[in-house]
Amino acid sequence: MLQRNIQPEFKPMQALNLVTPQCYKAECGTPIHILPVQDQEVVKIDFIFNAGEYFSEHPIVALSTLKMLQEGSSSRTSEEIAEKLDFLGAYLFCSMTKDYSTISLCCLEKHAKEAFEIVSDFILHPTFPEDKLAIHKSNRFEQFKIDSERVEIRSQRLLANTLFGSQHPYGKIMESTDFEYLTRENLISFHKENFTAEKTKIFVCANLQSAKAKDLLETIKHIQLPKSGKVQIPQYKIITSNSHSLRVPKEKAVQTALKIGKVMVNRNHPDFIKLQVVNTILGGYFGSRLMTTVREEKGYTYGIGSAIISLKESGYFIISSQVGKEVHEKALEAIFQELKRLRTELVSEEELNIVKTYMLSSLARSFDGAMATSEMLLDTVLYNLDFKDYYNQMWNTTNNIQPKEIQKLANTYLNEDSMYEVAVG
Amino acid sequence: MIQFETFELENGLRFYVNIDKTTPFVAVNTLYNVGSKDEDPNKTGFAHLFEHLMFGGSKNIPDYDTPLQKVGGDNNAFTTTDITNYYVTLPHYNLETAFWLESDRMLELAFSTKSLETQRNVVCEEFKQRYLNKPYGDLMLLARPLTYKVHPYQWPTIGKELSHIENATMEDVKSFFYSHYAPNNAIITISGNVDMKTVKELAEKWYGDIPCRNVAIRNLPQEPVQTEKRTLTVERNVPASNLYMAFHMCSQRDADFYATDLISDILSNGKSTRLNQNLVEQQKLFSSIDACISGEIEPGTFMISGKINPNISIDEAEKAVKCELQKIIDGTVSEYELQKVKNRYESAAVFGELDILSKARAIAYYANLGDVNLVNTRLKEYDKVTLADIQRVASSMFADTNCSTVYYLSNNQK
Repeated sequence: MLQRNIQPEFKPMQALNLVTPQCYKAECGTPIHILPVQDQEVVKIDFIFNAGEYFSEHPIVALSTLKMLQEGSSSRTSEEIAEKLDFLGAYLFCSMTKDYSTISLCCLEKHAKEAFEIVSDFILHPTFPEDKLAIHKSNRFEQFKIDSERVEIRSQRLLANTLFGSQHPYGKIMESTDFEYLTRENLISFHKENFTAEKTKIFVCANLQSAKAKDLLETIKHIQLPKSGKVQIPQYKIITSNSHSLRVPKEKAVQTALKIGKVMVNRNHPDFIKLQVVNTILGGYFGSRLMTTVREEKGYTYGIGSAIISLKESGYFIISSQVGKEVHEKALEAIFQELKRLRTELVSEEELNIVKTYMLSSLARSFDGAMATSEMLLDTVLYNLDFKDYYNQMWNTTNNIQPKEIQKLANTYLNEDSMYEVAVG
Repeated sequence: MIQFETFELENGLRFYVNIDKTTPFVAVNTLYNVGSKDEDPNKTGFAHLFEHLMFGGSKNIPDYDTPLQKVGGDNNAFTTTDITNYYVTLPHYNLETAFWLESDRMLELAFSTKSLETQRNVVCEEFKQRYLNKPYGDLMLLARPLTYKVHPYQWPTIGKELSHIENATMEDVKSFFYSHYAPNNAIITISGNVDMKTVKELAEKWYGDIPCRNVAIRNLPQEPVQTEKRTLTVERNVPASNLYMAFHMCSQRDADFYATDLISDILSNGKSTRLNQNLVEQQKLFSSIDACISGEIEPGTFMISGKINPNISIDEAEKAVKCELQKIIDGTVSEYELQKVKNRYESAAVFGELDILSKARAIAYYANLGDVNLVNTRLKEYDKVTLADIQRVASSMFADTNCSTVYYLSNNQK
C-alpha cells in the first residue's frame, strides 16, 4: 500500500562542482572572463563599466550616457545600428546599478562576431547626436513622471535617501530639474572618463568547442579601449537621517508601500555570508518568517521580502512590501515583532536546516548553465574575490552556521531600534 | 531541437520527458487544462484563487512547501485565461519528492477553511497591487469587456471585481476542483537529468491509482464577429495619456497565427521596427509604443498600446497609428524586413528554451495546444510566412469595425 503521508527518502545537497572560468587580457589590458556553454550555439557578451551613477557629478548623466551609446557612432547612424543588430537577431540590454553600467549582447553564435563589432564600435566611438539626445531626454522625462507616481519606486528612493543622505550618490533622489544636466557635453565627458580600458571588464559565455566561438574570442581580444591611467574612486560621507520614520500620504491609494532598512556591510565583509543566512530566515524565501506571518497567516499582503544588498562602497538591508492601507499599522507591528524574535529566540534546528537546504540548493542552481554562472562570476570579480574560494566558502559557512551565531548576528546587525521606515500611500 | 519521449497512464494522464544530462537538476511541470475562460461569469477569478489554494495542503500532506524545501526544491505557479501551470525544479536525486507532492494534490486537496480565508485576502491584495494601486493598472480591466461581449476572455485572470473573490465559498472551491483537476485533464512534462525507466516507475507508483474524473465539458460561447468600431474614454490621474487599440485575431491553432505574430514584430519588435522609428523617433508622437498579440489559445487580440507625448492630441496619435497599419495593408513590407523579424524570432526562441524549466514548460504548452511537435516545428511555420500572407492577414484584421479603442486620458493634459 502506498504511504502517501510519508515523504520519500531523499539525499542532502551534493557539494558544488564549479567550473574554472578562463581569463585573458585584451590587448588594451581589459580582462576578458570566459565561461563555457555546453551543446548550444549561443553567445552572451557582457561589458561591465565602472560607470554607475556613483561616478557622475549629476547622477542622471550616467544612465543617459549608457543608453545614448547606440544612438550613433563615427561609422554608423542610430538607424543603421538598430537595423543591423535587429537583422542579426541580436538582443541588446543596457542596465545600470549605482556602481556599474552594463551592456549585454545575446546572439546566436553564427552572428556573434558581426554583432560584437557593431557594439564595440559604438562603445569606442559614440557621437551622441543632438537630435537623438532631445528625443531620449523627452522620453526619459515621460518615464520619470510615471515612475514618480509608483509607490513602489518612490518608497525605494526615499529609503535610500534616508539611509545615505542627499549628498551621497547612493542616496540622491533625481528631480525633474536634473534633466537640464542632460547635455551633449556632459555625456561626452562622462563617456571619456569612464568607458576606458581600466574601468571595463568583459564576460563571455560561448561554446568553446566551436571554431566560430574561438574566432569571436580572438576578435574580442583586439578591442582597443582608450587608457585612462589609475582609477580614482571618489569617497563620500554617509549621512543617515535623524528621523527613523517617514510617512508620505497618497490620496486614493488603496495600498501602502512599506520599506524598512538600515545601512549594512557589503560582500567584502567577513560577516556578509552569515548575514545572508540570517536574512533568509527572516524574509529571503517563500517559507520565510515574514512571508509566513504577514502573508500566509494574516493575509495583509501579496508579498513581502527582505534582502541585504551589496554596493561597492557600502551596503544596506531592506524589508519591502505593499500592504492593504487599512492594515498598515498592524503589518508594521508584525514585521518588527519578527525582527525582535530573531534577536531574542534561538532558531530551531529544524527551521535552520530548511533554510540551509534552501540556500545551498539556490546556490547550486546559480551555477546551472553558463549564463547563470556568469552572474555569479561577476559578483566575485567586481569585489576582487576568488571565484572558487568564495563560493566554496559560502557553501561551507552556510552549511555549518549554528543557531547561537545567528542570534548574535541578529543582535549586532538587525536590532529593530536601529531600523528606518518609509511608508508611501 | 528538443527531444522528448511520451507515455500515457490508464487514467489518461500524459507524460512528456526530455532528458538533459548536462544539469544536476530536473524540472517537473504540471499543466492543468483550466483557465479563467472556464469560469462562471458571476464567479470570476476562481482559477487563479484556486492556484493559491493548491499550496494550502493536500489530502495526505498538510504543507506543500516545507517538504520540497527540505530536498532543495523550488516551485511556483501561474494562471492564464487558458491554463493553470505548476512547476518544480529540484536536484535529480530527489525527484521522487516532486511526484509525491504533485500527485497528492491532484488526488485531493485538504480544503482548509483557514487557507481559503487567508488566500482570499492575499489575492485581494494582489488585485490591488497589480491593477488598482499603479498608474495604468486598470487598463486591461477596462479593455477586455470592450473587446469581448460574450466570450470569457472578457475578464482577466484576476477576476472582474474584488467581490467575486471575497464571496468565494468552500462549496465553490470543491466543485471547481472536481470538475477541472483530474489526471485526464492534465499534462506532466519533465526535463533534466533523469532516465525513462525511473520516470515511468514513479509515474505509475504515484499517479497510477488516481481515478479518472468527469471533467466539465468545455462549451465556450463564441464571440460574434464585431461589426462596429468600439471606443471607451476614461480620465485618470496619470502623467501621460495612453492610446490602446485591440483587434480580434485568429486562434493560435489557425495557420494564420504565425503571420499575425510576425505583423506585430514588424510593427514593434526591436528598436529598428516601424512604430518606434516612425512614431517615436521621427514624428515624436509617443514616448513609447508597443504592438503585441495576446498569445491566447482561443481567438485572441492584437494589441497596440502607447504613451502619448505632451501637447499631442490623442486623435492625432490614433491617426498616425492607423496610417502605419494601412501601410502594411498596402504592401510596403519588404522581403528584407520580413527576414529581419524571422531572424529575431529564431534567436528569441533559442534563447527562450535553454534551461530545463523553459523546455518543460514549452513542451507542456504545445502538448496542451494540440500539437506537441510545434515545440520544434514552429520555427519552420514562421519561416513559411510570405509577404502575401502578411498583407492578406493585415487587410482582414486592421479594420475599424474590428477595433476596440480605449482613450485613457491624463487629467493633467487632455
